[in-house]
Amino acid sequence: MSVIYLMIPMAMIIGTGFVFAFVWAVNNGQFDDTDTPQARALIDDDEDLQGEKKV
Amino acid sequence: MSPIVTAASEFSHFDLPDFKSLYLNANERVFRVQVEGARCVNCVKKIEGLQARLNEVESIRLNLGSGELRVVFKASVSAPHLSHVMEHLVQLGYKPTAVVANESSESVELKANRRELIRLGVAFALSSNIMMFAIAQYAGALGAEDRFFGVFSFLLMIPYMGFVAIPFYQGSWRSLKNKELNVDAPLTLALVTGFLFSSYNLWRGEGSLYFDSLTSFTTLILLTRYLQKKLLKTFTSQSPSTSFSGVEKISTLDASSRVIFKPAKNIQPGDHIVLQSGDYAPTDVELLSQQVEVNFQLTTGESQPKLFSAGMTLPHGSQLISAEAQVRALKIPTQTVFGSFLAQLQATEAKKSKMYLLSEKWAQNLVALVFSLAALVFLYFLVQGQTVVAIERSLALLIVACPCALAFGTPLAISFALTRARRRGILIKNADVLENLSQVKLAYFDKTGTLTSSQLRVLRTEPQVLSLESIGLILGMEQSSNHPVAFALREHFKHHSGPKAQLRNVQEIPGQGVIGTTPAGQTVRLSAPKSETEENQKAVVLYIDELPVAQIFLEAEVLFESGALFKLLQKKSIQVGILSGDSAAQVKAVGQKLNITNLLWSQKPQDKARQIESSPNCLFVGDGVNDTLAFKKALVAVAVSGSLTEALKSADVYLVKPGLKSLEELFITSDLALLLIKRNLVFSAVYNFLAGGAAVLGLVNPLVAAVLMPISSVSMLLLTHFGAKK
Repeated sequence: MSVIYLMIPMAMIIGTGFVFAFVWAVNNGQFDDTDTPQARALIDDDEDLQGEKKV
Repeated sequence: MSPIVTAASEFSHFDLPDFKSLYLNANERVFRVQVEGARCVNCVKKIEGLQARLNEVESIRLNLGSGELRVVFKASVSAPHLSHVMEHLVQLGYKPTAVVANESSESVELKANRRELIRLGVAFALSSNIMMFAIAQYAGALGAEDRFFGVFSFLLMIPYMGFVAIPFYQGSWRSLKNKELNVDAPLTLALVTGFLFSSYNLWRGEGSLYFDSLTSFTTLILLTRYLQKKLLKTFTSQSPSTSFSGVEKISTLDASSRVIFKPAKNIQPGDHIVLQSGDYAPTDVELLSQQVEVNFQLTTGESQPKLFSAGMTLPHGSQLISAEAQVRALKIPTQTVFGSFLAQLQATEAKKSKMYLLSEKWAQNLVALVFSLAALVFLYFLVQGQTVVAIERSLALLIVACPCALAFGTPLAISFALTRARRRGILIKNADVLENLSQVKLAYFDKTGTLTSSQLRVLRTEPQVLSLESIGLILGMEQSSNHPVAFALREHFKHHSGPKAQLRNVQEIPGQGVIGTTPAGQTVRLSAPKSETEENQKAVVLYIDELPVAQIFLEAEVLFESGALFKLLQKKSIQVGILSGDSAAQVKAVGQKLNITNLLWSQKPQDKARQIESSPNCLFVGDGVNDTLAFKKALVAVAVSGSLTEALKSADVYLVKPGLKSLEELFITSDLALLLIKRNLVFSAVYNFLAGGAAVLGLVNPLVAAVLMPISSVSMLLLTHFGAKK
């Protein structure tokens, strides 16, 4: 079981990494708008261009 | 409807330095626009696609949730054209409203939001890891391993105490400063003593660790508070912002009669101003045009238009109903009666008698009880010389019996209720409303816009079916008028299949009607009949070459459907009254129809406020700026659909949909919220009693606490969830 003395600190380091990733993401504005990005994903680039030409 | 103006002239003033400095955040080159009607995937595509066409723009981002568009201009563009953005939005069929740039507030609020989210994320990361170590310990870790796990949970506890728990410290500090017990105080005490005592136990190598139960309940409380705050915040972002912010565009004429646009707050005495039909007087003005019709709906609440002639003074805030008029400013806007009224509204925060809410009262009593019990237990064992037992038992009591179920249950119930309300178009600014509604004894309605629709409605015509030609003539004359009658006629004949008559010299004669000439040279006139009409009715007659051709009867006020609401109010034994700025006859007519006897008419804003102040536990439903003073005095203030920004600021509730159905729903939601709160309170009282008893008897060790805490929280969550489903 002595392996846990190695595993747990490693797990903690990885976990800390994820916490920092989360903090970075929040400060980067990734959670400021939770309504629009999913809609934006549905927009097709090509279709958009064709639409522009028609207008 | 405002007169038809070409897009170019409607927004060109946005490029003038005066206006640009108002709307553009110069440092970040950010221009924000509230876009009405942007609620779908396609809108994102269309609006953000504008970037391809606006070459001055660096990025353009729409937020579907708030409907706000954020435009960033390129740094290389020295004089960006804000008007282009607005024009393109109009071309796409949206209704844009520019948001006045505020150097700081946007980023300050954004930063605070982000900080809270980070706090919540860190809280979850730390508490779940601490829980993991605790499970290993409960599962029977021994000796060095047990100690190893303990040390790690202690290490994780340090950022929890130093960062995550800060809001609780702040809450306790407020509680100390205001000398009022709140839930944060025992939470902080439990957190701090629990942390110190557990750390001491870890150091001496015996006794129990409470890290896991401490972090799990505080994290849950943080989560529910975060959700509640988020739900309340939508109130301001969804309310439309319109007149009287001082930034609206005013057309002035310079010495050589050229039109110059100015922001309303830059108006100077002597300025020559052109008002279009539908515009509000931006300050006290002297009328230069011959005759105009003016409405005081906004300032005094009177809904009947009045006639003014040249030389008379139109007060600030009165609305021009007849066609274009020229006026001269007499004062700067802040020095008028209405201007100081607006300033007063902005300056005074809503001051309301502090109500002791049910849940607060319970929490305070429970907190006081738990505190004194913990102190008694501590002293009892201390006197017997058992210091460790004294700390252990009083701490166990503080942790398991602290009113966290309460700290968690009430915001939870409120969150559910707020969500329910929001789905039904009720925006609530202040959660106290849900509880205050149950105290209401008297409900006052401002008549127009709340009980009745302020718009006229066509009742019948004579002959019963009008010829297509007559309808064409009527629509031709009324097509761009702002008179209430014109709105009603346009609405009634909107399905007209024939052409609109193309008339020449269409002229609106204030107080009389509209007159015009057909291409064939006939004179057509639409005006009031010579004979009197019935009460609460209006009529207009169509004359062709002075011969009456048709007569149209209009109903002056249409009552909203109110039966269900009044039945509900009666059941709750809430008295109903009307508090209106309208004349006695109008108020009495409505009162008679609705069977309301408590009627007050010709009420000025100050009268309304006084009346509300003198009737305690009063609900006030209103819509105009003239209601705002009263809003501040009312126990619960409800602003209905169509209200102005100033009114919204001082109201507690905003009903998105017109009519009284939402108000009924508000009462139902409030009842439901109270039921849920009470049920959670009873639940937590029973739980506290049992768990507290066990703690005093020494039956609660960290394992029991760790099991009890989540069970109580989850069962409360389920109880609230299923309760709110009804």
